[in-house]
Amino acid sequence: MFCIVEQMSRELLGNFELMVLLAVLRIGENAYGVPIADQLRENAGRDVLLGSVYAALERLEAKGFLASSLGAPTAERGGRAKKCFTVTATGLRVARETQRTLTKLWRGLPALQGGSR
Amino acid sequence: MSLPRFAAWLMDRFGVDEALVGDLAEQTSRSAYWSWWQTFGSIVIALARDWRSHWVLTCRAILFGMVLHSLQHTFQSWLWDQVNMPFSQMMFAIGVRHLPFPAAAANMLLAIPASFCVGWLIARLHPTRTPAPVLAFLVATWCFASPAYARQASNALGDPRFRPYLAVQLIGICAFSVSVLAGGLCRHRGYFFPWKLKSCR
Repeated sequence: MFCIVEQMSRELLGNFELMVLLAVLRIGENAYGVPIADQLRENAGRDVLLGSVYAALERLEAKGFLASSLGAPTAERGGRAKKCFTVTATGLRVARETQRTLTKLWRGLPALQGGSR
Repeated sequence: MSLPRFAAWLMDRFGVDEALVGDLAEQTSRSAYWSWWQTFGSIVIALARDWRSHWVLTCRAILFGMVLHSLQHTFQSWLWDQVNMPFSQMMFAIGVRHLPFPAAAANMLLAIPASFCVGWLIARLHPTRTPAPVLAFLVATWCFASPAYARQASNALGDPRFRPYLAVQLIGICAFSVSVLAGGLCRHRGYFFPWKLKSCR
């Protein structure tokens, strides 16, 4: 029972996690903290904390939806390495499943038709 | 504006991901307000995550800290008994007749290194990514001390003569908190001194 619940929570994506996953997919190569936060700001219309972006990235990595690699340290980053993220095959599958589920739930909802109410 | 060196040092001491600090250092076109907002936000998130993932260790740190603190208190009382008489004689010799405040200041000076050791030991025996266990102990101490402080504050509000006593108590808890936190941060990873930190330019 405990294993099933744990498995379910591992497969579920939170709202912010889904946004971060889609931002990583959208950026493609060289997806690290700053472009991901910029992407979220452009689409969500508000500034996000880089700390919360990294927390979501770490959660997604722990779930196996993202993989990270460390780049070379640069002088402009104070000698700190860049952490780049890519979406794994599992991440891609879960994103597709989430899209399908949300589309099904969205379809035929009278309250959301026409955007007037 | 580049990331202030003190902000980078704070994030380093509080266990924020190095890649995140690098990302912030890269943002030279942002305002100082933005940098500080991101810095404090990152620290709070790192601490909250550590508290959530190591809550058993955090509870143990609080209990361990309380035991250490009471031992420190016992030792300090014993030490004060040893130095009280020579201290009073010295104060009388230099013309100080009202002893409570000099005695409180001397007691505080004795407590600072001991509190530093308490913070260091908590961090040493409860290793996590951030100094969350040390902060949890401090928060617990403030909660336990708050009724006494509230009483003192209400006394001070009612009668101005009690205000110096409240001030002494507040200075005492501030000195205690700063020394415990310094001890905890000293144990933690990275450089302790901001000027030894890697340049952000």
